[in-house]
Amino acid sequence: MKAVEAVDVTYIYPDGTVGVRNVNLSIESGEKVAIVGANGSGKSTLIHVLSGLLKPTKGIVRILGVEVDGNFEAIRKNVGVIFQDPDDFLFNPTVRDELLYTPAQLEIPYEKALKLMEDYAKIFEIDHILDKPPFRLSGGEKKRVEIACVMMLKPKILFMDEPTANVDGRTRRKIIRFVRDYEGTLIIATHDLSMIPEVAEKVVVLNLNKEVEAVGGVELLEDYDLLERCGVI
Amino acid sequence: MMEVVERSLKSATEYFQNFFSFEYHRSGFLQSVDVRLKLLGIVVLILATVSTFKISKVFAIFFSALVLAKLSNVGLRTLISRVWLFTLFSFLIVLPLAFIEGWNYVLAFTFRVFTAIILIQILVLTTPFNELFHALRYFKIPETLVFALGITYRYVYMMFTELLRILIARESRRLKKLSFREIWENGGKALGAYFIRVFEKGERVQMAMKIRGDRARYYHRSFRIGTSEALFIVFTTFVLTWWLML
Repeated sequence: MKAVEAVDVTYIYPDGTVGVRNVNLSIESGEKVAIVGANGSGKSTLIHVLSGLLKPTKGIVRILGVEVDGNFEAIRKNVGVIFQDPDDFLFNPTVRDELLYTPAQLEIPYEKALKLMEDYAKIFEIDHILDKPPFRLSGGEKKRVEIACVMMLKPKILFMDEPTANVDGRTRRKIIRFVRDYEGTLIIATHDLSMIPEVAEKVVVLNLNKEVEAVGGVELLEDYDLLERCGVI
Repeated sequence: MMEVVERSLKSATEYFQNFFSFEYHRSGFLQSVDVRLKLLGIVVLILATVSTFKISKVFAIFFSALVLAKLSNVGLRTLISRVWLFTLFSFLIVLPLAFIEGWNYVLAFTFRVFTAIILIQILVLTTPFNELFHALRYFKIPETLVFALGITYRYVYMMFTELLRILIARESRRLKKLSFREIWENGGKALGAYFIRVFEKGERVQMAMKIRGDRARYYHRSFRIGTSEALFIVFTTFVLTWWLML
């Protein structure tokens, strides 16, 4: 079954800036895909469009066969999005509230949500900061809280936008280890080329015109002409 | 002159950032009181404060607030540092009335504001913000309002952080003494940049809320009455009785 499908998708921002252009992509369930491209090539926009957060100006996006067009409630339980800047994601007064927020929206019984929260707080080593306000945490701690919030609901499709940006080596290793163990469909936008062979099997390269230049295996990362032409290296 | 204004703006930003931030003191009397009862008690004391112009009545509440602060390990210096600016502001606002209503009115008004803000600060310093939101929900305050308050609390801090970043960046890139006109021009541009940054941040936050669910549902907690709650009820009743007798 196709996890995510984009048919001739273009996204144009309200000020007229083109986000992505004529994207055709098909991602099977369980596939691990990395999106690479230069700064401003549309990686983040593509993540937001594919996850249903931005409605394409032209074209169709389907998630698990359901067209994303005002149909967000139907896909929310299956989709997790990890933002580049955790400050965009975290808005509750404490880490504990952050972790309990989405289970409450999904009406998961309190006892079950509490157990989930405790388990994931341990996994992501954030159990000692549960009563702290998220905006007072370090960058690495914020990232771990964000990932824990998303992962505790076990999404079938996980979108990650630059998950290793601005984190220390220890957190980076932890994120890579976690992503490697994740069993669902993974779509990850990153500049961190060295992590891609560890976490993905398919690579999508965006060019400077904000189009998909190439789709292939991780061997694309050794095509230096392609990467240079697209501003990746 | 303009540099003084800029420096003041920076200090004010730091002050507000600190004021709105959550600095919960863990141990003490009020910390052990159930948040719903505490919220109700403090609101009653605030209403008693602002419903009179009799200095002795306001003083009774002020004195009780200091006792509560002491029992809750909230230092006087901490309290004063968080309320002086608002008190000064209210004093300046009401100052012209000194010529119409007299100085007693101005002093009573300012003292009322001072006492009310001290009570709010005691509540904030002895209660995690998320607990306060639980209490507001318990009292059936509309969910949208509580949620908006939570978001405001969260993003006021972020907006001040953003403003402080811009002010520091401006300072770090200033290579010569600017003319009055240049300072105003640059200030206008910085303000424009600030609003764009805050606006874009808001859009990204909205996307995050969309993916996480934006129906503002929360888990509720059960109510409990123990020794601390009983003592708080006795204390508040005593203060109100004293207030009525004055």
